[in-house]
Amino acid sequence: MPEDDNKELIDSLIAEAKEHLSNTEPDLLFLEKDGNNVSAEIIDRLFRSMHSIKGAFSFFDVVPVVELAHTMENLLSLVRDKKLSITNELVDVLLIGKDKLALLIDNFDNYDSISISDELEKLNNILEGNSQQGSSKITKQKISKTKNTKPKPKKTKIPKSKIVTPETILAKDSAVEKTEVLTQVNTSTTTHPDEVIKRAVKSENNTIYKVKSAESLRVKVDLLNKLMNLVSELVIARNQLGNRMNQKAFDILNDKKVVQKFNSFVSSSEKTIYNKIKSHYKKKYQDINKSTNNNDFNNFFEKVVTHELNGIKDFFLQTLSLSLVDIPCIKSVTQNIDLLTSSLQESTMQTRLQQVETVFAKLPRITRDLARKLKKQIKIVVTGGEVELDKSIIEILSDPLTHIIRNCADHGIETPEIRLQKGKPLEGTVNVKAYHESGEEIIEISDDGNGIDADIVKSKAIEKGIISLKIAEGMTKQEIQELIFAPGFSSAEQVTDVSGRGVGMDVVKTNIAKIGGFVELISTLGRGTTIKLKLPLTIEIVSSLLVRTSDRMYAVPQESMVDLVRIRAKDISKKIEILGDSVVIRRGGRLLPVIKLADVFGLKSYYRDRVTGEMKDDRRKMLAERRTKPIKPISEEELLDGVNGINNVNDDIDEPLELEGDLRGKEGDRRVSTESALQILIAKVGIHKVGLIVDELLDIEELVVKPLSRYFKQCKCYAGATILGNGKLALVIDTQGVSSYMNLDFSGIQRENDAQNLILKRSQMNENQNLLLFKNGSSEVFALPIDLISRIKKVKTDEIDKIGDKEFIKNNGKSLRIIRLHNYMDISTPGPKRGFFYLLIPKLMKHPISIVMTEVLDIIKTGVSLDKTSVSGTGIIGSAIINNSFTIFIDIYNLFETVDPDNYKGLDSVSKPLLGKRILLAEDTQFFQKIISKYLEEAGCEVDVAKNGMVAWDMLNKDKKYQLLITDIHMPLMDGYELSRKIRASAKFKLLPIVVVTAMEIKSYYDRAMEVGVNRYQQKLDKEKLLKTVIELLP
Amino acid sequence: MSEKLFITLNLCEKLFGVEISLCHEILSNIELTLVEHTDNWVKGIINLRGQIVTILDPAVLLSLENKKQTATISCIILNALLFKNGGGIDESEIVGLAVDSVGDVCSVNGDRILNPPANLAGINRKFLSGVVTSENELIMLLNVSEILHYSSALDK
Repeated sequence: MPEDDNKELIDSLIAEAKEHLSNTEPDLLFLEKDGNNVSAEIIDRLFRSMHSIKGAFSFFDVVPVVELAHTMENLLSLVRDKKLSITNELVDVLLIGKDKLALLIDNFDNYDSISISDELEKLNNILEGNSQQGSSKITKQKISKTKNTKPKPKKTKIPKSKIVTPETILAKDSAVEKTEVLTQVNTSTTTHPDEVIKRAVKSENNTIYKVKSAESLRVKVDLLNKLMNLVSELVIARNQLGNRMNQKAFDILNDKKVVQKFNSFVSSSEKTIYNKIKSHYKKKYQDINKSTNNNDFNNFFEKVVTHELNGIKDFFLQTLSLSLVDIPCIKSVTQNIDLLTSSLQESTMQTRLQQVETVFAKLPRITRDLARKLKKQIKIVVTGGEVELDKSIIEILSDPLTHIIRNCADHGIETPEIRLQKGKPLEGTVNVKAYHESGEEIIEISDDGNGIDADIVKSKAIEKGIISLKIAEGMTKQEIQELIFAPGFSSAEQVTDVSGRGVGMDVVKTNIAKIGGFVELISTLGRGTTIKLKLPLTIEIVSSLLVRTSDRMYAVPQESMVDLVRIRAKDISKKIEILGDSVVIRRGGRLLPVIKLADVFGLKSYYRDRVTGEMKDDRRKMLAERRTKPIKPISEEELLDGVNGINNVNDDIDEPLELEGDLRGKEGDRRVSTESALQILIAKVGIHKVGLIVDELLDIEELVVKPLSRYFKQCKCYAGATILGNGKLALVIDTQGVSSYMNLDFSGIQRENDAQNLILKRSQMNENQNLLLFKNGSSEVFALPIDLISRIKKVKTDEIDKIGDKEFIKNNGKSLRIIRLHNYMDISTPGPKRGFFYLLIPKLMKHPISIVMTEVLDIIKTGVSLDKTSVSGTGIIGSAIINNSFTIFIDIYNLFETVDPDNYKGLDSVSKPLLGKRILLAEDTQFFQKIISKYLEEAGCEVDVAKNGMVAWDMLNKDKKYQLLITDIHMPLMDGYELSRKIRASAKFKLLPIVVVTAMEIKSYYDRAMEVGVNRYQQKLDKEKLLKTVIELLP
Repeated sequence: MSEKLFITLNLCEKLFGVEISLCHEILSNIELTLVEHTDNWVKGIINLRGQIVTILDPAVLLSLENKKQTATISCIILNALLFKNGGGIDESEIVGLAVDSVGDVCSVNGDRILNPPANLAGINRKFLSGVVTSENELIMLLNVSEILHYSSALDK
């Protein structure tokens, strides 16, 4: 049994055995490929490997290893002596044996528990099958004899005493092995003389090879890591030195005292020169006209001497500042250190490099096994094995490569029959290539199989619930093909050994992403698939953006960043929107949640004063503090409410944000000055994006990221810490962690965003309105105009209070009734409840009731044509197809009347006076046309609808006796202002009561409406108020 | 009993002691980087010659009064051997203790170390291994392994 004393010896023995085994596999595959024509060198090598393993392990009495190696050695010796022909079965068995050996060696501590009887039996079957064929009973004995001490393979248990003999121990030594091979050759009667020589030469080569291999040295990974750390620190120190040096140079140039001294020197020498030259001239040319000459001279002097002197001064200053740095020759020394550090860093990184071959080596075997299992013919061509990658990357590559090869074999390459039909070579080819390209290492795996059928992938993905039908519609072929990387995706009909569990390609993507790499997929149907793994050279140094928030510096890894955005102060209210409790910006038509980094860490915001460079408190409490004043003063609470915000940005809702580089603001206007602009860093969080607001964006630097100790484990916001050039520490931000800390919930919104976008663009020609799309736990999609919504709130299920069969929730200290749509409407009941849901709190209600939503899909701006016939019933105004989904439009008043008749009824009695009144409604949006006329009709009015001001004017003039006009402001052809002005100007209608209804409470609108002489200006959709107004105004 | 060497240190105007063999070095006026979202007894991180070291705040553990936050601190870096984890020393696990100031080295005879008395008002006795009286002063000896242990118990 192995003892601890021998630990080191055993370790080296295991390492050696592993090396042997790693060669064994490719050699066995060669054996299979070349069959009986295989070169003797390979058989020799195989034989020797087994022999060495046997010898080494017999020393420690590791019976199973010795037995297996011994039996395999016997088989190989038969092959070598051409006593046994090479068949697939033989290679199979040898491979199985090799695998078991590897297993035993990998689990050396408890090899006793591993049974080798199966493998031994298989090996012996071949051995015996061969001997029964007659020819080699003698050979076998002969072999046993040549090997001196080897017992007969029939015995499954080898007596220990026989194994541990001096010969076998010595067999470890290659020199002895060589002689042994030679003796064996001599005793072997069947060997051709030529081969004897060849083999002897090969053995010679082998010795040479071993000498060569002594050029490399085994080094503990720990040590390498430590070395790497030290070098990283050196790099940091070097950067610090550089920073300080530059600082010094900078200081001198800006040192006012020095500049002053020079200036005074220049002016005094100027005077001296002037006087001297002048006196000199006076003596020489006394006769020359003084006055003209004097002027001339002064001009000349100024032009030449003063100019030159100033030039000299500048030159001196510069030279001085440079030379000051260089006075003790530091510059050249630091340059040297710079160079040395860089090359030291590079070399140290190289010590961690390993050839890709180490992972490539196992691919032929995997391919072979897969091909046999799947009954396909697959050939693998591996090139570029010599490309080197960082050890940590190599380690991670193994799994993804296996999965990709499996995928190629199982889904890519067709069966021989199909390939024949398609006129492809029967044997499919998998090409694995490693190469270097523009700073990245690339591993490319391509097959000549069938490629990825986007249609099949699409239907499978929908079937498995990975994407919804409507999203699928909006996806490109490439995007659909890339769904094979989605977790849970599998196109295999059945779960087999090979694939179908839907984990494979997902692993590829996540593993590669983990090391900062990237997976690219190119697939042509019928032609084959190519997968490119783009890998970074090393993962130790991360290029990161430094940002300042409050007085802290944070680093954000560049790979988790998408974009930087700067929003000018005057644009903030336009571009930042508030939706319920969260702040969003619209970017490229998508909503991105935005968080303040300072809020994440509970810090104060500062901005840098442009003039003084001081840090000042950022007093802006809210990001999107409105600067346009609404009609009445509004409370902070209302500020937070999203609807105003959304209305205000109606006009440029889809305007993409530009990356603003223009830093100049108007003097004196604080609102456009740089310090109050918002710096937003758009970060990647998985497939989503999040905007992080920081106080200042600084440099991008190459940083050595160090892990934080276990005391910080519970805080997921950090990916580590780093030492900056100035010796200060900065925490490295984990964007994923930050977004989960802030409880950002992307459920569906982002993915839907993509699909919604298309629709959004398409429908922009029509009359648009903002709709909130949401779900109620089932498949039905509901829509409600944003104008009707006060806010959206995320609520935990356990916050609900139940009183009788009614549910309530606390909202701003008041009890708010909540209802679930399916209790009142004829719709499907939702599935299992989750721990939280969203509450939709409507606007303009005296007795607010909030509606439960399980999922907020999106806010879209779209024009719809409402269909009133398809569905109808309580609380439903109509339906429309939005985004390929059947969407139900909610009639919120009708719904609330049903829910709470006490508070919402009684209107009928009020509205009695309206019976038979004739009202004209000018309104361009179909939804509002329907809903407003419905309100009025229910109250007994007769309503006619005009789709714009022009039509309304015409209708008024067609002699219909309208008693009141309700008009929208913004309409095509003629707007509400124009219409009202016309009406007031005409003798016929100047007394007609006009009610302007709008979704926007904006002062300027109100003022203008009053100016043109309307009677009332009020919010759209407040049924109660509208009816009251109408009653009041009607004669 | 044998003599033991202690480093004395001040925490909130009280005198404490740490066995010298547990100390690696003493730093003063070193810049502290605060880390948000951690327990209040984890004070922050410092740059110790290119190594990032976590600083714990024994004052919080001992439930002493809260002090003002300062940009620079004094601290005692604990001996790396304390963090030996199996084979190698995990450098990222090296820890320092923040102190108000560091005093002297004093030699104490083992049998002069007494159990912490029950009437140490306001001080969490859990983190004390004993007390020593010296020159009319009471030195409370910190139980460093308890401090480290307490910390590690929390990340489960």
